[in-house]
Amino acid sequence: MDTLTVFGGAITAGLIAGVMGLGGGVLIIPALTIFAGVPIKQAVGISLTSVIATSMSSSTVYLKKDLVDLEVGMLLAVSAIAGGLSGGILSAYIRSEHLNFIFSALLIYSAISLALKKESAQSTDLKYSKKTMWVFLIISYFTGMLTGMLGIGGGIIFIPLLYLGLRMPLPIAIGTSAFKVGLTATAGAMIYFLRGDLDPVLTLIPPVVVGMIVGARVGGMIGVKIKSSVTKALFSLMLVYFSYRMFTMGLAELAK
Amino acid sequence: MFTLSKKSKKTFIIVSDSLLTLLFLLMITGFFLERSGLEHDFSRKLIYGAVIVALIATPIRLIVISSLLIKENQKRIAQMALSLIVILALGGLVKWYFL
Repeated sequence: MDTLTVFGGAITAGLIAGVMGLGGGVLIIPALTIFAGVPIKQAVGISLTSVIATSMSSSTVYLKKDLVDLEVGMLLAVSAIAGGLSGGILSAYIRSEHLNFIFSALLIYSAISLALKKESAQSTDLKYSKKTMWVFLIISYFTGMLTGMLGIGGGIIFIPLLYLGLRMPLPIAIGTSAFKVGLTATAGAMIYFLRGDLDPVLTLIPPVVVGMIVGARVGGMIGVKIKSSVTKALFSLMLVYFSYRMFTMGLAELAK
Repeated sequence: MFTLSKKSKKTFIIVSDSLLTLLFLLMITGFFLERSGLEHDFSRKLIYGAVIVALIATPIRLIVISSLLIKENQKRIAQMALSLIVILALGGLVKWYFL
């Protein structure tokens, strides 16, 4: 596929991700796999590299507005990075069609959790018990593992975790997640880079990274003006479609 | 919830934005050189360089933020940031030597 088309696709994915406050990995991987025919493992490597860049770009904005809980973000990143490294290593031993199935399930989960997400008044005075924190450290480890295996930043899982689990206000949950996903993605991307998975698709990295950054910036500006219920519904429908396509691709691989 | 002082935030944002600009420039130059069909090897090197910048940006940002946190007497969070660098380095070493 032409790099300009990939660039256009990345801008669109970045735009939607920006509107929804996500890293965009959950969109760019199915797009690269379904429309550009990139093998899923290489698409994961490209996505992780772009997540580092988009996180670097968005987290500074959130940090400027005091919307990043550094303590919680760093603490959960420790276990998430360990998970990211093990996920990156584990991915070498998992068959592509199984990755397709896992991704398909994750997309369905994301669609449901986004559709059900509601705003509620929550406190910024956050106090966590040691027991609660241990539970979240373990969950964070497995989220990181998914990041390494599937090439997503993990925002789609991490935001509900902070928002619903730790009862963090949504803007702080999004800001903390944006900060953390860049750290986790680095662990996964490092493994893909060192393994040489990025070499065959090196020329696809710039259009994806640049397109995602540009799209996310514009999307962020548009996001504040669009009704969140409309974007949530559209986004959930799109995730269901991608989930279906990834599942059927996995089935086709299995039948080969 | 702890928040960085204005001065520290500014320092961290300058470092992050500089790294992002460098990454952006390398990616764009590599992309256009690759598309022009000229300097194929050089454009690949530029893209490689950009990926390496993306990978080392995180440890650099963590070192900067931990030094800022130490300055602001937030040693516990600074320790977490430093432990993140150690985990990343160890992960890289494990991959490099054993896998």
